[in-house]
Amino acid sequence: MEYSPTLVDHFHHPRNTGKLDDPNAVAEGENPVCGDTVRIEMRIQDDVITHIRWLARGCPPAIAVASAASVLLEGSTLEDARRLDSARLAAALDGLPARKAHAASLVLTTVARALDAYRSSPRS
Amino acid sequence: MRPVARIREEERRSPLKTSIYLDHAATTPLRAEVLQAMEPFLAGNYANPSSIYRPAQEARAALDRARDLTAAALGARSQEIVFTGGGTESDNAAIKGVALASRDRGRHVVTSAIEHHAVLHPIEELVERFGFESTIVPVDRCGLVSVEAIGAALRDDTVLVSVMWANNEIGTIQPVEAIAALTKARGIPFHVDAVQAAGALPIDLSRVPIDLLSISAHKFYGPKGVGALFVRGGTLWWPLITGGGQERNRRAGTENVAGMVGMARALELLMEERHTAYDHVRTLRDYLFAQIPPRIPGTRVNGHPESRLPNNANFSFEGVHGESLLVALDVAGIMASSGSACTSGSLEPSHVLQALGVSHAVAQGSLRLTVGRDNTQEQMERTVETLAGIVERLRGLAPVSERA
Repeated sequence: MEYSPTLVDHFHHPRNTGKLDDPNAVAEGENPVCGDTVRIEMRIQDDVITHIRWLARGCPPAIAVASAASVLLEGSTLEDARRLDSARLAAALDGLPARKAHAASLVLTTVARALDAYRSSPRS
Repeated sequence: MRPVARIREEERRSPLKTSIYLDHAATTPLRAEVLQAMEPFLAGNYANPSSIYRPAQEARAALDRARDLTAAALGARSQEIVFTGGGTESDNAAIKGVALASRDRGRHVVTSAIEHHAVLHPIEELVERFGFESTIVPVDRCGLVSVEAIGAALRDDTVLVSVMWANNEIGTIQPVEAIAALTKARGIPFHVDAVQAAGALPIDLSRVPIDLLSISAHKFYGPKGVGALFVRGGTLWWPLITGGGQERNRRAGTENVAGMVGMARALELLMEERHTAYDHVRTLRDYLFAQIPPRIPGTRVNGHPESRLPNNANFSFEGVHGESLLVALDVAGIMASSGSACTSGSLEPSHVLQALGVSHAVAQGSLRLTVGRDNTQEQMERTVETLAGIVERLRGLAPVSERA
């Protein structure tokens, strides 16, 4: 297996899984080619992501990327959250095989959509 | 704790103190008796069997005996056995060797949709580089190819039919005896890829009019990199590899004496144990079939309910990705395989599962468990329990709309 121990650890012990009671930024994404799906829920307060939970179905990198992204995003400002990219996700996992880049793309686009939804919602 | 240390610690603490190997369709362990038979030609007698001195003649005698044993195990004559570098080479040699030798008589070949790539790719090569046409006959939902469909695909310019004896992913056993009767009646050479079947099913070429047949030693507890191609006497066929005159000018290159001796010994053991060898794996495999679907809701069995290899089980679990299952099983010390080609760089599921007409999601969630002679009932029980836990955990991670 070409996955790093860190990636396997995130897959085996995913962080921040589940749902929030009162999220104000939510999005679901799906990769129609491989069928991976992810749901991300965040609680944003004063431009900071105070809580984040996610659920995902997919290959090990899809689950590991969602886990690593949640760790990086919790407590970060919206500005920093927007700057999260696949290079940082790959670094957080000690490497992501190039053929699994789509796993990072799915999580990043879903995060961006959740942030867009928050921005355009009347509550914000 | 660092991730590496944590995984090591989990492995150490795991109730599965030793790992469970359930990937015998990928390869099998080398049997001690086989290694013992090979050793004299690995460490001691290194002579080239084409040389003249006495050690070389001993090596030559061992090769001859290996050929006799291989022929006997397949119901063939010794001169019909060509030793090769494995199943892929045997398939390539059979397909290109017959098609190119017959190209003045016709340029059409027939095969099935669920052949191994070692068959499909040489046929594609014939089409793309040598002006052949191919008919890829579809299979039903259980992976069976119909004899009638093969018959309907035959043309006056058909020069080769190639259908596997049993499929490597789903284990479906094809009606090769009926196809052989059909091709014999039409005078068309018939190649059978028996790489998965040899070792799991009895093969008797004195009874079935197959013209060419491929086997690979490492699928039946022999060494890797050794195989054989049976070429029935009188078959129009060109060798793939030319050079020296080895294998009676049918496969050039200094012989892998130890490998061939090892393959023959593995076949000899199979013959000795043939009345009991299949029962053990069938019992263990049937336990998986009996336990897993009721234990894990949303399980689908892929392949044929009866016409399948005794050691093969293939499942799909609704809402679970096959590769995630494999990685989680690996962490738990269970080695298995998936029909998902995700691991080999493509996002598309395997051509075999797609040919069954199952949905993309089902194909992507597949798990192949292939048992072997060293597996135990206790290992099967642990496998069912571990698998149930993993599927439950992965389903618990899925977004609600995705749950089974």
